[in-house]
Amino acid sequence: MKYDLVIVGAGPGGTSTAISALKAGGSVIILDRKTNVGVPVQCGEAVGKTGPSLAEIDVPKRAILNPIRGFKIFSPNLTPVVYAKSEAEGYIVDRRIFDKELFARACELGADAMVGANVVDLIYEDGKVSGVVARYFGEKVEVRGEVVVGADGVNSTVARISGLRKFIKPRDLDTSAQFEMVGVNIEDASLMEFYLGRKVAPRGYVWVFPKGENRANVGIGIGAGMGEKTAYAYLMDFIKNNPRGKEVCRGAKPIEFRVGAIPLGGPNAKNVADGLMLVGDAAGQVHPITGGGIGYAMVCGSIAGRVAVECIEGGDVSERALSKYESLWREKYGHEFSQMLALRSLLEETEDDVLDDLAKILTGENVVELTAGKKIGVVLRAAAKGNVKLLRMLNELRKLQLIQ
Amino acid sequence: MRVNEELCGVCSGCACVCPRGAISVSERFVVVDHKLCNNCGVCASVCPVGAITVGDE
Repeated sequence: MKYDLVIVGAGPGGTSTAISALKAGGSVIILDRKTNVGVPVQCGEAVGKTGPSLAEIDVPKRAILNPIRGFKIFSPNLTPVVYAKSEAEGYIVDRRIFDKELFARACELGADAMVGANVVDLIYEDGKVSGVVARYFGEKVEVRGEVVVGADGVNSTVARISGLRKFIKPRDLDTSAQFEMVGVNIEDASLMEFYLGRKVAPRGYVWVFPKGENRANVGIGIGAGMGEKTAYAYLMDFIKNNPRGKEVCRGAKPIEFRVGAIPLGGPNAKNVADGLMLVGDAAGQVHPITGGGIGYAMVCGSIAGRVAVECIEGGDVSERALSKYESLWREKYGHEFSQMLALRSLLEETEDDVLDDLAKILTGENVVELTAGKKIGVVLRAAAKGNVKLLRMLNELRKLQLIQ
Repeated sequence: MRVNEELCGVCSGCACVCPRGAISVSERFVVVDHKLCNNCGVCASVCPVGAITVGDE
């Protein structure tokens, strides 16, 4: 049997692609290397606060653990910047349930599924991708389709084989370590906490994402190879020695440990080829500073599914035709990603004392605007009061068109 | 390079950055193609748990 879409990867990107293609009338099969989709979780499990809002993504209700109405960011000397709304703007979810529910939804809508299918090669016909080769319960199987969608994550086989992304430069990767803990001392379970600083988390941050009153994901992501020790060692340092970290984690018990890798070097130069599309982490559709990617994967996947069916119906699945997907998603997020890449480079250069000074004058709203690539409206230069290093930083932000 | 399987959590970071595509990741473990690996060590530098050693023991 030949499908319209062969989707590799049953994460939020792949299943969103599937759901939108099915709604547009296409036939779909989803393959995943895992036999248990969504496990192990490799994620902080926060959705809604980075990129697309809750209104733009269909979060499976059963996966919602805790509504989030804001955050507290702590600078290196623990100066807080607080953002708190009255309504929930995001959720901490259970990714196991989240991914499984979306996968089930896609299959209920008509997608076929192969779990435990490890894609090892692409099939090319007349220079066009026309299917995949997978190892499946000890056998080698071929699955053919008009369009192959690589939604197979940070370590995407489809991206590598097609040459769209052969490998990731270490500076464009964050690696993470995370405990899920019970008995965590959380002041306000509706606020996420972030901790910044070179000694805390070089080119990254520590997070405390509450899953309930006393339960949280306590994790860290750092620039791969940028620290003096492993991500795990930085995380343990936070839990044991950081003045706030040890308060938050006093008496807390880890009930799960997990690791992850996050591609935050921005999107690949190209995410389409003849008969091929990339979605989500495989495409690099990840916020370069927060590392958030679920919402982007879902929205971009929806675009990909719709465009793929349109192209198949039009009888043209060439790179040129499929590039409509590339222009549509870049129209939405391309500018934001490139600005955030520049901001990431700036933050990487910023010394801890400047971050501390910045935390004193920024509001939570300012941070939300900044990380969404919007210009901060307030007059910050007056607030900087002749602090030369801070003024220099503000000038850099102005060059990035992030301050008026 | 060698992977200490007791520490490895299969995040796939090492495979992502390997410039030679020498590392592949299955559902439960990491597989190294020693014919392709030239012990450059970039994988070890990104490992979040320090599970990778490079060079002679």
